[in-house]
Amino acid sequence: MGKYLLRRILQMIPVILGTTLLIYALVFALPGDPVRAMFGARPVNEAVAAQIRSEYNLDKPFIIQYLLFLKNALSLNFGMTFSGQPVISVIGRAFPVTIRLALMAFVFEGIFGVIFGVISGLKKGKWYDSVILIVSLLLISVPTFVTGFVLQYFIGVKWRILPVTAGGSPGFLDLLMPAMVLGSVSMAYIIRLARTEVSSNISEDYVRTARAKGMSNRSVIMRHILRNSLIPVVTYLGTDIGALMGGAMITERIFNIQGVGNTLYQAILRGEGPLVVSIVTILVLVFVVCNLVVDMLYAVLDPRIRYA
Amino acid sequence: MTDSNTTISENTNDFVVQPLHGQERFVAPIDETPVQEVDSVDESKVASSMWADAWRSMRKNPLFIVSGILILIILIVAIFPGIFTKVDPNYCNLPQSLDGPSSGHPLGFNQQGCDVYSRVVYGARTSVSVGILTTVIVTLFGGIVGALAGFYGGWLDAVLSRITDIFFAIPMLLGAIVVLQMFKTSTSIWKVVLVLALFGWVTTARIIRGSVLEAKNLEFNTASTALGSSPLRNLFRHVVPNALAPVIVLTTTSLGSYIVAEATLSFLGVGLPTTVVSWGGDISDAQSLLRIDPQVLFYPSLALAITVLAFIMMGDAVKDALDPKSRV
Amino acid sequence: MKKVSRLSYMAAAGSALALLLSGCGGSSSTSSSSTSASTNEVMNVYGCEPQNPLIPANTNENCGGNPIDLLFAKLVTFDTKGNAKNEVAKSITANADKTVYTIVLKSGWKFSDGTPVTSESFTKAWSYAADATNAQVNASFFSLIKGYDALQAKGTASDAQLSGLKVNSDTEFTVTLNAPSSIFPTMVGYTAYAPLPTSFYKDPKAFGEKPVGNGPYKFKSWTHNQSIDLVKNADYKGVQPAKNGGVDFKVYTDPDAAYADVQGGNLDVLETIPSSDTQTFQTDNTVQAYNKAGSVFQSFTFPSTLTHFKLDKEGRLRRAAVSMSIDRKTIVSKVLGGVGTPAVDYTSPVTPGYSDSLTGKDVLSYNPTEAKKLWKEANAIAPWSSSDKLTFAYNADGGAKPVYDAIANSVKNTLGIDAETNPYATFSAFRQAITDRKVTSAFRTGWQADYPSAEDYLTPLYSSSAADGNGSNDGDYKNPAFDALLAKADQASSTADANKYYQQAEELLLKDLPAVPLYYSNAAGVAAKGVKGFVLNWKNVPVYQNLTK
Repeated sequence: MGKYLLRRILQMIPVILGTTLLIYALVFALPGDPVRAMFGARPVNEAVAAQIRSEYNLDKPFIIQYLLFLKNALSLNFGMTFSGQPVISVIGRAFPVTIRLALMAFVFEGIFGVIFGVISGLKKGKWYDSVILIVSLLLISVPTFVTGFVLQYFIGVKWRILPVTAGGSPGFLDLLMPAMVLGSVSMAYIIRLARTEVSSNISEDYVRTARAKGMSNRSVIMRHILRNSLIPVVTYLGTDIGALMGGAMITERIFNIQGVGNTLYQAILRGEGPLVVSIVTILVLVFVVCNLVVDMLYAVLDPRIRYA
Repeated sequence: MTDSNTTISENTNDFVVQPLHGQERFVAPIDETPVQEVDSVDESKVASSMWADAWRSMRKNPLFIVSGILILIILIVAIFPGIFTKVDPNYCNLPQSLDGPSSGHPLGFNQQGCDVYSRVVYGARTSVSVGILTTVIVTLFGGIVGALAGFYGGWLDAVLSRITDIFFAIPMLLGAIVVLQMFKTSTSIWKVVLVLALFGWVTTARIIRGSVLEAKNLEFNTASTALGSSPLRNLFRHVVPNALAPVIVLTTTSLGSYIVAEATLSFLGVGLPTTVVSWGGDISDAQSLLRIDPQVLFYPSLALAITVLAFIMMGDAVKDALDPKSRV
Repeated sequence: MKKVSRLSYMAAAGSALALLLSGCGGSSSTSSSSTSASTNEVMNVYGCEPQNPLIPANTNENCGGNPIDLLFAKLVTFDTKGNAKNEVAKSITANADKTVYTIVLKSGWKFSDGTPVTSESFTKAWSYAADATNAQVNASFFSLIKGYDALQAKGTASDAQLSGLKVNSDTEFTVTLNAPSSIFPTMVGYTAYAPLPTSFYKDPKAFGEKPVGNGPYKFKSWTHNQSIDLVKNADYKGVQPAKNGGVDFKVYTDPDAAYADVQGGNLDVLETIPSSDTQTFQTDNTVQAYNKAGSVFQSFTFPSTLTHFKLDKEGRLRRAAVSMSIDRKTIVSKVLGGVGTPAVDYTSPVTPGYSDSLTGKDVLSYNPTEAKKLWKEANAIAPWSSSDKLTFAYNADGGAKPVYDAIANSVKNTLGIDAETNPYATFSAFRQAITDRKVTSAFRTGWQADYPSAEDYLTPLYSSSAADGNGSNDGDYKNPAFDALLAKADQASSTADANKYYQQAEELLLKDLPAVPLYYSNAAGVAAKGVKGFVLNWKNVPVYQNLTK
């Protein structure tokens, strides 16, 4: 196990190199010249533009730019944004907010997704199974930007139950509605996954055996069905936490949360290479670590899977 | 088999206790039915495959019948929109902006003054094609990668899994802008399909990998290996079919989500060309009218929801049929 | 001079001079240190994260521009109608041919760190801004001043001075220009011409995070991505002192969220209306609405090399036909929800020099019969084949889609030709394609002046000297007669005289249609219930000093 962990941690190095190179290439391939865009539609002063380009290494070939970025990154210098702030401090501001938001969404979708999914799977065909099915279907089939605006309008503006937007340093209540919006689609997926797994495991031999042994219905569900149904759910949740952090672009815009998604959105539109790459690299680390945790959990949930 | 007694006793003298001298011997009559006949296959009948069984149980399932009819209708609308309306979805007359229903225009007009009913009808083709094409590509590609990674493990798993990690982290907006820019001249839906597939396959790959990891440790797989079946044959004959259930649920649900994702791309300004009529584009356009005229938003959303529902129900039906244990 | 990147920001656009504008006329003209009815309430206003540090010469967008204009008082400021009024300047006098200006300062002005505002506060700041080594985005604003070109060479010392600036005393300096300009005394009211204290040069970066100015407000704090907080400057000597205790710019990335906050009472003022609310904000009883003609000029431009639309007889006929097949009134009411006004000239209704009775303005009204007739005449010169189509390019990140969809439909329905739109994903990609002259279709152009003058709507956009990549004449329109009229205006003895020439120049544009005027974006905004003194100035920016609650 220890050796396996070490190997997985060593694998992060090529992943980070690959990601940074790929993202840097993508930002480089973005249409438009970020320096000219700084002038809006005014005449571009080429002397000034050249000065800015050399300040940000934008006048150098792609691969040199990338290597310079890597070199500086090794000494924890991730460069400056076009607005003259260190990338590291922009990230330091954006991530805490987003981590809070993502965790809330994660807990929300995990708890409600599993509960509704299991109920639905155990009582397949009952009326509340149908209700859960239709609600989860609605969540999947309506785009987040529509759900977000509708909820904001009714819950925030009309009925004034929760804060309309989150703003600068949001608390639990400020993030409650955004977290629900952000987690809703994933929750629908989890409901469906859990429902499927539960309903197929319910007719497995070991469940019959357990019942035959006289085990109570409750322990059959908790000890056997749930444990065996959770593998795909855990996989999904594991990959989702990273997606929740990076994918909150639209939710963060609607609720004015100054987090990772919003920062990334603006950085992409402005073509700020170092900022985009730094954010995405951190997201990759989150993905890799989550996947590692997921793989470890496999072994816990299913003793037949062993890592050497 | 005439002198089987002696043969057996000779060959198995390790554990057959020799009778004591003078003890009476009793030998049971030989079972007259050869072993082969009990286990033999009735070759006069059509071979029963997993899929044939599935089909037989599926066609009796009401879920399948309803979703099948719905999908059939959606496909007919998508292929022959001209049957359902004679109005040109691209004829938009601004003075009619947001007008209510009138004769020949049962659902009224959108903000640009285009006929909503006609756009819903014509939008089916684009949206359904985007959904289906993306799903097919994603499932094939993600499925192969996930199955290989989960089944073979080792360095292959490590490499493939780390590649999926990288793809997970690429922001869809960034990838979409670059991809769309690369194919700037093409006005077809393929570039949107490509963008969605580029970012969709990783989820499928992860799920398949997880299921394969689980299925490859099951007894029938060990048994099959013991019988001399090659690993590749095992993978496709035994492991993949058994790992299929969660994948089918995922793909049918995500088919809907790809249609929705197309709307999100439009919302971010990197969606389908504006000349292409699609539900996603119309939903994105109508989003800002939410508080003014929710109807314009409602109809394409309804069409989208019905389509998603149909595919999800179909997925459930197929999954139930493929799982012998849940078969009635 | 600024093009507006995002429609939704348009109403907000305007980096200059929130100082003394619209509704404040009466009370504030009594000037100086009157403390009439001031409260200590701090106002929460809509803001966004500045793209650059808070340095006047390095800020060319509203996010940084609005706070900077409250922090720094310039030589002149503008009243309701956009006429210049002296602020720090006592007088600005030109020589006969308008190439040398002598500027005398009022005494007693101080920066908020206690140091006095002197001639050098201006001359050094302007030289710093013009010097390419310092990489200030507003450097081009100083190209008018003699010695500018010398500061563009690579390796210029960062403290090199413009040779056209001469300090005579602490309160007097002269400016020598490269060419005559009657508009210079107005230009110096723009953000980039703000004075800077000596502390700036020690560490410009640190200054940009914590600026020190001489305006009606003092800098308090800047929490990135959250808010920029300003407090009233009691030592301010100018004509527009604050009536409130301070202004907090709350950072938003999406005006939709800000609108929702005004409705919820969390935000006092928002000077832009998100598209989801344009149809309803004036009847929304949870807010106070404001909607008047504004200063952003919206148009689309025909490249002068575009096949069938060149500057020849056929091209002029087709340009006019397209212009007359666009139903501006309906687009403004149905698509913009009334937060625009159909265009009748090339400036804006709140700009001195605006005229709604130019000869040839009929080409800007919807007239399908005439449009078809002109199109037919053009077809007689060179046929429009069935494979030809007219395309309109725009940037998709600014909310321009519904407008351009409507324009394409309007042209298609009237002329019966194939017309479509071509969105670019980002403003940056769109601008690059335009500056590289790679756009082979008509394309969106939006413009808002940085100082209230017809000149700023015409010279940068249509003069020959601004063509071929030397300015913002993106369609490369060249017309010697037009250039001659602009030159005459530059030497005119009065603004009224100059405006006469500008109007004649606009009449030439109406014949050639280098750009087709569409509409002026309105100055529209909302304030929370209970907020008093909410008006938008000529730049579509709230008069922050007058807000109270």
